[in-house]
Amino acid sequence: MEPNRAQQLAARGYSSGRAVLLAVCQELGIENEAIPRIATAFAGGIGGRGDVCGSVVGSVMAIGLRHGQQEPWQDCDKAYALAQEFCRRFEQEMGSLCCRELTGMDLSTPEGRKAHMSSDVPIRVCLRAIGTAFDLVMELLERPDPPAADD
Amino acid sequence: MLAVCQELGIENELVPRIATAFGGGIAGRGDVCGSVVGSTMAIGLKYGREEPSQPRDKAYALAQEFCRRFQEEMGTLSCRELTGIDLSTPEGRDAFYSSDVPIRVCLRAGGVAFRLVMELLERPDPPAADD
Repeated sequence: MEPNRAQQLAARGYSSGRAVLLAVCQELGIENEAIPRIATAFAGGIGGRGDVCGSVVGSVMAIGLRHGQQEPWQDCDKAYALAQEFCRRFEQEMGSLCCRELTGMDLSTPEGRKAHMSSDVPIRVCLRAIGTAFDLVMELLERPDPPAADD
Repeated sequence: MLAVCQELGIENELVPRIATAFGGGIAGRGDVCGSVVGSTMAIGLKYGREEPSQPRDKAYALAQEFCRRFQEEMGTLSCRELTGIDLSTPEGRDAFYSSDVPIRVCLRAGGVAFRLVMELLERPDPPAADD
């Protein structure tokens, strides 16, 4: 299958969080100087710590960009519902949201990162996670809003 | 994140919207605390990279140091462990809001995160090796 936009960016060296966030913004026509810089430290979880996969964090940021709140009194139910649905479906497809569990590797040390880069994990796991995240989040963001109750 | 951007004079229409769904972990799922995610975004804004060819070591090192120190002070990075409450259900959120956890835990976590990340972002760069 043809690699999607996020996978193409990842193949050019963009880490998971940046690849997914930048790809979604390109797709939605969002241009901003903070993109993808804001997602830099989300790779291998947070800075290699193995927490939530960067492609999940990038996707949840993209949901916030589209449906987020700028002021505290604005409604954030839509963003929450989409983020929950995204996580549930990503977990179904990939088995986990967690970098450590997805990769089975410790990316917090230089040796761990070396082992990661010389294994098939970046292609077999990370590229697949990035592709899955991008396809899922685009589907959720492009889904038409249900008609309002008073229509 | 908004507080850090205000402090650093970063004005951007995406802030704080981009962080909306990071409350109670990701949308109440109880993962990494939203104040940690917001701080890591702020580190990326200051030291992140646009292109894969640019170095990311500084952002990584600061994010790791931030997480280590946040964990030292708060005991964990995890919303579920910090609050001890399941925020994924309406009942859980009701219990949360009628408890002292928002003040006792979340406000404290937000304060610790802000103090730590500002300290890291305002730390002067070490002189370059060839100076």
